[in-house]
Amino acid sequence: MRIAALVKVAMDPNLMKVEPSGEVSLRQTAMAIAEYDRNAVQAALDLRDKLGGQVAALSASTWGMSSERRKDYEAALREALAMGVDEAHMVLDDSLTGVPLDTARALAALARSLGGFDVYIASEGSSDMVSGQVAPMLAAILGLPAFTYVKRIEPEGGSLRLTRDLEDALETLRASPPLVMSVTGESSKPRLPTLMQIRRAFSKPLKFYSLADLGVSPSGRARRTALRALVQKRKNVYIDGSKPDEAASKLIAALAEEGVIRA
Amino acid sequence: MIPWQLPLAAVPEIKYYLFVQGLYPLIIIESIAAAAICLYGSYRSFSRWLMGQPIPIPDHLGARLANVLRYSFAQVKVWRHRLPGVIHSLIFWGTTLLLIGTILDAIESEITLRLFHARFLIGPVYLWFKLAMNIGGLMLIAGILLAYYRRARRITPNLPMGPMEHYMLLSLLTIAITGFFLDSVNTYAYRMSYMFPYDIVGYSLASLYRDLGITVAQLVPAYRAVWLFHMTLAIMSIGFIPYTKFSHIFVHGGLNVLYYRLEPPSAFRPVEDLQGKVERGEVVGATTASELTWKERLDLDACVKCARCTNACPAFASGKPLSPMHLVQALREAVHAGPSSKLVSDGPLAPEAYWSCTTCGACVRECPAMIHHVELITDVRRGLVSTGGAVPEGLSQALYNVMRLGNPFGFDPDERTRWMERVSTDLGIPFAEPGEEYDYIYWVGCNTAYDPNLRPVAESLLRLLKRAGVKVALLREETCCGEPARRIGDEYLFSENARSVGEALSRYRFKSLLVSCPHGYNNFKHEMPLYGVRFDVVHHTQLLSRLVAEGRIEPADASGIRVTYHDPCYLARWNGILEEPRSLIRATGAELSEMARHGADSFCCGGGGAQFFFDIKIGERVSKIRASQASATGADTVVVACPFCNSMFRSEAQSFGLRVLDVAQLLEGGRGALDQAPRGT
Amino acid sequence: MSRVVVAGRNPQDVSSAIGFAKMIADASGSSVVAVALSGGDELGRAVAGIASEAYAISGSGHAPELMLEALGRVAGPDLYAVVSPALKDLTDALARFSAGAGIPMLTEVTEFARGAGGEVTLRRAAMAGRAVAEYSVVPPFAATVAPGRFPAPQPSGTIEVRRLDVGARGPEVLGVEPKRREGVDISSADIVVGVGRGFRSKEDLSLAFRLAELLGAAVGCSRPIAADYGWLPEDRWIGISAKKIRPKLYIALGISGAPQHMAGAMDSKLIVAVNKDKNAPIFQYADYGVIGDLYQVVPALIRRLEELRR
Repeated sequence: MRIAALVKVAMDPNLMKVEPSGEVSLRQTAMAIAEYDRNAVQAALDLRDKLGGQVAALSASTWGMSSERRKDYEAALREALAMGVDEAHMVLDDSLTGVPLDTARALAALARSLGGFDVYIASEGSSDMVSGQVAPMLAAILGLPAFTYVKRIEPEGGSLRLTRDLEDALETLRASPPLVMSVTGESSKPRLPTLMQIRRAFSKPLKFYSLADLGVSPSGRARRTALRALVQKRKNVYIDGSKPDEAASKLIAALAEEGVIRA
Repeated sequence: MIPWQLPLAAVPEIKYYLFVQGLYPLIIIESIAAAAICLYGSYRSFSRWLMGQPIPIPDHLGARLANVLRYSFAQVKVWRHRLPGVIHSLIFWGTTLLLIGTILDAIESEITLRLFHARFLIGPVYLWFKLAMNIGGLMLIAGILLAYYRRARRITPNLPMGPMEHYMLLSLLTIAITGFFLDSVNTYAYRMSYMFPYDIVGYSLASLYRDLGITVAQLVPAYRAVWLFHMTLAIMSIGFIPYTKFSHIFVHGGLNVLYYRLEPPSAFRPVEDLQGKVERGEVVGATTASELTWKERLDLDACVKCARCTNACPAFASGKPLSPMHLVQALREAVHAGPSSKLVSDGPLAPEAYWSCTTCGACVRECPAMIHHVELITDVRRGLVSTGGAVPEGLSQALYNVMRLGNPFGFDPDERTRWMERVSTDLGIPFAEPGEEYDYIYWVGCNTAYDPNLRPVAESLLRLLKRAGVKVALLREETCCGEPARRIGDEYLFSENARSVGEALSRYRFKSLLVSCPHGYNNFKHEMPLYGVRFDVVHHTQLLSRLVAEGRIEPADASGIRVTYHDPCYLARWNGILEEPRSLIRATGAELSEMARHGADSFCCGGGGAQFFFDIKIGERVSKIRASQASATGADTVVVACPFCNSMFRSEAQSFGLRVLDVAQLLEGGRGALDQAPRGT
Repeated sequence: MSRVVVAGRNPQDVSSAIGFAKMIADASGSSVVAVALSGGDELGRAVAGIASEAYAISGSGHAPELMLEALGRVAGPDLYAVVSPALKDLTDALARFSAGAGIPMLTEVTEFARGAGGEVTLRRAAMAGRAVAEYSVVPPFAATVAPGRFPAPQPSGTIEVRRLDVGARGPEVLGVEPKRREGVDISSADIVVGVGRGFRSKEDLSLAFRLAELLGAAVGCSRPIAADYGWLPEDRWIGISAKKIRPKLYIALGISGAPQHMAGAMDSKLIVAVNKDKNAPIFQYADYGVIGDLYQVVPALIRRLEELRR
């Protein structure tokens, strides 16, 4: 079975750096495989272990900086290889700016150029943007069925029994490859790679492509015009609790103001 | 009668094979059989230890023989506990005396007498010889009876008492008792006139026969039977040594002490040919019996199940699934089962057992058989890490964080830098610059640098040093020192990290590194040098005690306050730094109440061995046990000298009403420092 | 006239996003078209006076595929936008529809503005709530919004609901198992109340549960509560080695804020701490820190919320 794990090299929100202009620094913020994409990789590896075959990691840049941060993109993909993926392919192009439609198109072109896959596994959303739409978009472009928010994957004969984790229900479906799915954080237990695994994965193939290589171009229908950091990470507002009722009213009013509770 | 009063006519000598001449060939056959059994057993043991590797030739023979004297003969580690020390010495030296006597007997009867018709056990020598043999026999019997008493009364907890233990004690006891009987009959038969008091036991028994009116002839049939039994038991016991726990006499007493490390045990043995193993995709560490080192396999056979390790182990005491003794025994069984048997399975070899270890080293300190449990555990942890085995998620995360962010917690490295910059500005401590020379570069360590509760320790220390006029600098490039990675078992990450730490530090000129974390201390002192990174390092308690002694720091007043001091494992037990922190506490005038387990026998806080980064959710918290021990001293303040201990105590402080302070804070703030450290924070 | 389609699984879904649809429609001079997988007349009442057309889908099979097919039919050539609440099946359907139609899509949009030259500006949260991303988009486009984020005008009157038969769609559904509400997974909860060592007994945790009930929150805990005291099961344990949470609001009660715990709670958008120790590290991580005894503060919070809920 040919399995593709869709991997985003994401900005790490916990290590966000900010330019003096207030923009998130795309140059300095550390990048890594998006957290849930590790689940996608692990789910692909688990499936390979059960059914045999190969896993390729497919990626497309969403943050530009293709030359300045090429090393970081590479390092993140090496992690996927270290986790056990057989090969990695990435569309690295400055004209990809994180518009999900363009990302999905680039990935579809990449997949086609590699001869297509039986199963595509993405995560439900990336840790930096949580757009959550690349998997279904990819399915639509490739003309494949899509199974989103999959929590459990059970091979059953030639098909897969997939359980979707929806807001109010668990939904079980029968699915036959070729197909695209997105998985949740509970779908697998990804193992973080060790330095030694990364080192040992250096011999595995890792290839970069430009959009021109694949003969596609961005839709031009949308572009990211800003990514502004919210100034303060934590507000550190202190409320004196020695008068409990007063403190409670103050806190509840503040939380309602924040829009996180109804008051 | 004393020897020089002996009449010349009655020159005492031994009549060999009295009454048993006909049994002689049987003994020869038994001896040959026993020798064959023994040789085969030894061969099996050696091939099990070596598993195809060549026999290593020991270097530094002088130092190694000194170890043999110290540990095998003086048995200093056995003597760490008095009653077992007495018992073991009685049995060991008793048996040794008897064995030497028996060998002399054999030399005279089988060699000198047969070849040269010459004797040397004659006259006064013979009498003294007899006395020595009597003492040996009595020591042995006394030792065995004491041993039975100790085991029957369960004086030592967790001490196993199985068929092997009964066999060992009973076989020796039987040999000793039958020996005395044989001796008494000989004495009765021909040497009553001169054997008092040298053959005190034999002579007394012989007198008893005489008083009861039993004749020598009546005793002969029993004598022949007992002689055969005694000889067979003795000969076969020797033949079967390689198969029984008696083997420790040679495996431990001989080999494992001879091959015992000459470097400090807290260096923890590095992985041989690490780069090559990484490149070839081989297992780093051990997952199967054959992947242990030959010395580790040898050590496993040296275990005598004395339970000292288990009784000292904080993981065991807290109900974790680790018992060092049972772990060693199970590993031994695995090695005996064959080269491919797995070292991680269930029971004592469950992954949780390996991950429960705090690497406090109490087991290593206790073990009279010189086993390094922590290294065994580390090697299996390495195996689990390198093969993607059962590594707890928190530890994988810690490794990943060290690799990616330079700290095990996953904090943004900028947070360390920002704090350092603030300290640098507020306290006037420079960052190290190339070309400038410093007395010390202070390697703060991740725990202290990120934890808002611990940062004040570093700040106290730096203010003290500034006051003392010490030229100290902070390091912009500070990162993880790699200790957690090594404890978790990622040797490759550790070695690469050590290299980059070495490169960063080599850009600056300084006399010594200063650390306030004993884990970092051990790492810089013993572990990084294994990978070629060598810097002189001092712990802050060492430096502060020197500065106080030189009068460069005026200790703050803490008189009237009762404190207890918790010795960090990596400072006290692994590195023997006991006095400096205590001298600092005394210098403040505080009254020091020691816990029952203190100094090098300290009880772990529960934070070592990477326990800090995850939780084995089984049993009691080690930290809670230690906090209750601290609380039991009656002091309400625990003075610590390690950020790990500091955090662990803080997490328990509230329930015990304890205050937690680093030595540096006490030294700087005295009583005032206590007011700033409210109980339970 | 251009069209803004608002989609939902049911009339409630449609209502929760129709405010956004109306705003876009007003800004672009479009009409609103409502489409739902169920609802009939109820849908008509929900969108009357706001939408000019309403469609109830009839067909059999799997929700995203049914919706996808329906969107294709109602979109028409003069589509301006497709919007829906940010729910899983709808996000799925809208994304497939957008990619098929070649139009861009953004999820969980927080702001909409008309830009120059027919473009629109859309904003949404990024970087786990620490940044705002802004996009310039040429309509038509697709977008989802947090349910109820944009207030909807009151519906008035009624409107004819047309049936849209899309036939059988989607994969074979083997089973649907409704979720039990109390088995809330703290890692996906919007509000989490965390309990720590500040609680003196297991019984006292009822304070936290009552507060959580009033807030619709899940209850999580720090290490000692789960691992040591065993007062709560381990799936409620928040920390580096346990569950990581990323709620909109995390209320830490009697938790000191050890790094191991905070690593599991760091991604919370808003953190409230209640602790009597003013030096507790938790306050450094908190947006709102109540320095006080939780045994007094939490009952006060409960009283206040009960008043408000009445």
